Amino acid sequence: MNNLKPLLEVKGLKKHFPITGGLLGRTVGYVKAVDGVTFNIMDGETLSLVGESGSGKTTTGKAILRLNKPTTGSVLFEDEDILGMKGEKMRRMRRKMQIIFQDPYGSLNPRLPVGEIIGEPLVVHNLASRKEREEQVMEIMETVGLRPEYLHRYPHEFSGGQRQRIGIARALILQPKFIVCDEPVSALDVSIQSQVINLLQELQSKFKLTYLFVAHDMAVVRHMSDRIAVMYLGKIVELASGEELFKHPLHPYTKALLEAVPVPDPEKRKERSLLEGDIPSPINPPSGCRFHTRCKYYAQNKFPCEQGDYELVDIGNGHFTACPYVRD
Amino acid sequence: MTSTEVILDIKNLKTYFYTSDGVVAAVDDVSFQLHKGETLGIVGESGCGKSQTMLSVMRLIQEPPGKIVSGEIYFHDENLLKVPLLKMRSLRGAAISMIFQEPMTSLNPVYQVGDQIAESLTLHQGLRGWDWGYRLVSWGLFWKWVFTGFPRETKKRLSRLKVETPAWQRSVELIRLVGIPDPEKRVFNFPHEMSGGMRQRVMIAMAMACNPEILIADEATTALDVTIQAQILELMKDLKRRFGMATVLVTHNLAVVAEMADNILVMYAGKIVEYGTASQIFRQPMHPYTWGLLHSIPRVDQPKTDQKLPTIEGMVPNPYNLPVGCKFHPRCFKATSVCKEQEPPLEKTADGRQIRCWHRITEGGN
Repeated sequence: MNNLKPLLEVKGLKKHFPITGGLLGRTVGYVKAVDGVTFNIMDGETLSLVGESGSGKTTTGKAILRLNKPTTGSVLFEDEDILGMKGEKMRRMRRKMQIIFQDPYGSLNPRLPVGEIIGEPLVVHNLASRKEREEQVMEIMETVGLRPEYLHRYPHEFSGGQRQRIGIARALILQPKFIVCDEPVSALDVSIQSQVINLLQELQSKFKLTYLFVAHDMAVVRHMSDRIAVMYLGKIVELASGEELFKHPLHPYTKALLEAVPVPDPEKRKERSLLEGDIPSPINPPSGCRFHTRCKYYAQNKFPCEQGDYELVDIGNGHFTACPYVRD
Repeated sequence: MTSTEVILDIKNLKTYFYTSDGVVAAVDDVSFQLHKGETLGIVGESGCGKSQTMLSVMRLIQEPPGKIVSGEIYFHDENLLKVPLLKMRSLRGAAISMIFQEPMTSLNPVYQVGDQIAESLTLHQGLRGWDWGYRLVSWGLFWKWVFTGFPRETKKRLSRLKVETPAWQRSVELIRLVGIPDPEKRVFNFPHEMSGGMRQRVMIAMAMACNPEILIADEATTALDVTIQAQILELMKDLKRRFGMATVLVTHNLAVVAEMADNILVMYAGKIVEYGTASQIFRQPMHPYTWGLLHSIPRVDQPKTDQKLPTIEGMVPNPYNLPVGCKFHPRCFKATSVCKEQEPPLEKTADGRQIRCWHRITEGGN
């Protein structure tokens, strides 16, 4: 599945949201939602971004698509920097990259029939006549497992799982190469989740799609991804292939995260070492390694974690980690 | 852990909702027992009636449109459906208490968390709190301040009034109990000043305030991150170890149930479809729905495969128009003609399990 050619290269991406305060609305600080992330996504692979809420996963996904304007950094899609693009060129680029949203209720316009929701990208990009559009919409509805007769129904007539299929159909209709899946199954019922996961995987092999999969459910992530990047407070702390990460997690945060996930097997109940406290505020993140305030290795060994920069280091086998102390 | 003493015995509970579109049988003939010190997990998808069952126990069903049509709920020897409302009020939050899913909406945003915990203590345990007596005194102090200026002592007395009440003192202890650091200061926080995990801890402190015999947690960890979820689950285990209350976990997350529960109840479309101990249900599910639920979730503890996940086809049935016969038959891989015509009864097996299915899965699946 993996080609060695990166489809997307993200370098030093930062997104700081200004906080305004006072009567004059002056900027008093920044929320450093994404603070320098660098990674590649190969053609045809699924890269997952995992982390707690507030770690900047979704913001990264949106910044890559330029749905919010990144502060600095570069995003190369097929060797072209999309952050500098303008006008018509950017519009053409947007055809190749789409997004599936988390909330199947909030992301569909309740006043448009499903056929128009799915066909709207074709109108925006002026790609098909009315008749062609209807044909294409019906074809794509069939592909994602919706009955084409439902073309004229409205979103409220569908269940959560079906709505998520509508969202997927809308993302697929422009035949993109790259799709950001922003928590696509977390709002769905258990029995519906597996249907949508299977659909996403089928579509990937059918259309040779590349996914950036943003999720917090470690089980789903393990099932879906080729490689996994773990984010904490706007930085990637560990990046490795899926199996490698689950078998040999190195960064203390990854270890804690994996340990916290409950296992659906009553005979594997475990006493776990818990991560203390909450994720710190991204307005004023801890210095040095951002995880050191909750890290038990830091507490035990007094490494100088509160100073310096902790960037990802390759330790072989495509495994990158930002913690220099816990390799053994 | 589990003793044989039954503290909650629900018999043939039916809770219906009468809406303009028709009648919804949210809870349809549900019977089960909860033993002293037991942790029971109620599992099911949204709309299967798991929350409504426990809300019926608390008698918190909104009426109309809802109504507890029939059934008996025995708490010790008392039928909760027959006790007068005032008596019910004194039980609710004291002997039986509940934690809800959204810690954001179930806490009052305009009161400090200490006040909210103290409220339950003053109501149920008669501890003196920030009541009218104290309010009158502080009102008096306020006017004294207006006319005579604000001598230091008056200010101190004013600020000490609330803190010195026994209820407030006890709420500081409770906040310490649920593991919130710096409890003397955090009691003064308003809910918006706390994180989601902290708020859920406050909810647990409120629920634990009167040493309940039954603690009902309705999707208590669903809105939280996994790391915080693990903290809350660990806290609940620890409290259970120390106070020995029976716990009912209502959730859709099978992994949470596997982690916590002694016994598991699986519900579908308002009915119990399977009941058994945790290891029975997870080792050898007998109902095709349970089997499907267990196999359709990806597993964290198993490596990635290229195989597709087994799925439960279709979706949860429309509650206004439930299928005839077995409610699960349109989605079931084992359905035959008998399933379409007749609803299977809930049968007991030799090893204490209960199951509602014509074609149980026997050893080894399928």
